Amino acid sequence: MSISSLTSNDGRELTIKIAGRFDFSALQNFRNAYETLDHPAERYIVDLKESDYLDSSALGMLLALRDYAGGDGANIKIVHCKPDVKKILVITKLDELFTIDM
Amino acid sequence: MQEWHFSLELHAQTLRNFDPLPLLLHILVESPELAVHKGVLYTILAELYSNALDHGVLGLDSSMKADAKGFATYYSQREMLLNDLMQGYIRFNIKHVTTSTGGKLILRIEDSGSGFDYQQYLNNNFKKEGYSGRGILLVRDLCEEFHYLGAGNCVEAIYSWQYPDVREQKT
Repeated sequence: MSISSLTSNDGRELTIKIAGRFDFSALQNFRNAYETLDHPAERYIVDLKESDYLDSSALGMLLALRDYAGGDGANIKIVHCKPDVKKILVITKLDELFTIDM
Repeated sequence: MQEWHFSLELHAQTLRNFDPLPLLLHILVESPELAVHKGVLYTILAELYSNALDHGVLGLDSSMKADAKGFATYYSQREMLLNDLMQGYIRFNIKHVTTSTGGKLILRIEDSGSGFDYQQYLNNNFKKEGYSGRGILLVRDLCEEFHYLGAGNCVEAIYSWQYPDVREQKT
């Protein structure tokens, strides 16, 4: 699994892309992507276009990002979900906590 | 591949640095009927394996994952315990059978741990706390059947598929 991240020109939006299996093996890289910014982002996009598999450790990582970004007030979109990935997010009710786009 | 069965037993030295999930998934998707379910099958295997390894073999407690800090501590402890692992095993017994409407994949995973009080866990309705507790919930939802066996150090999950699924995926 690899993590790459990109901040928008105005610094307000952070996109984190996950390629490969999404699980705890890149926990530190995932956290660094949002914790080490000079100014915290206002909006977050998690791009799962290149991620086919995830497990519950990935769900924990998403929830940690959500808490960091302000909990109920967090603005996080999970985009380009594969159908099986979306299924996992729906079963665990994470679709109620995040905006999810296929 | 339609009717098959295999077992795999991994011991401490192997558990330390070998990730069996790609291998296991690779075998399962040799059955074309299972290949269309690979995302879901990965999640089921990953949950069952991480439970066996983290709680059974390494003795980690999920309640640590109550907040973001604990979540990170849990995974750094996991790495430490795994690096020093001297004993323990995980056994996979995986079987696929066909039925008149499709097939069933029977996954039985046993670890060398002492088990746990699963009756109490079941009675508490799989309490979710902080960042933990979603793994088994997922497996239960995705599988037709899920049971703890013995002292709780063994689980059996049955994933059923039906032919119409295959047709839907192709359209």
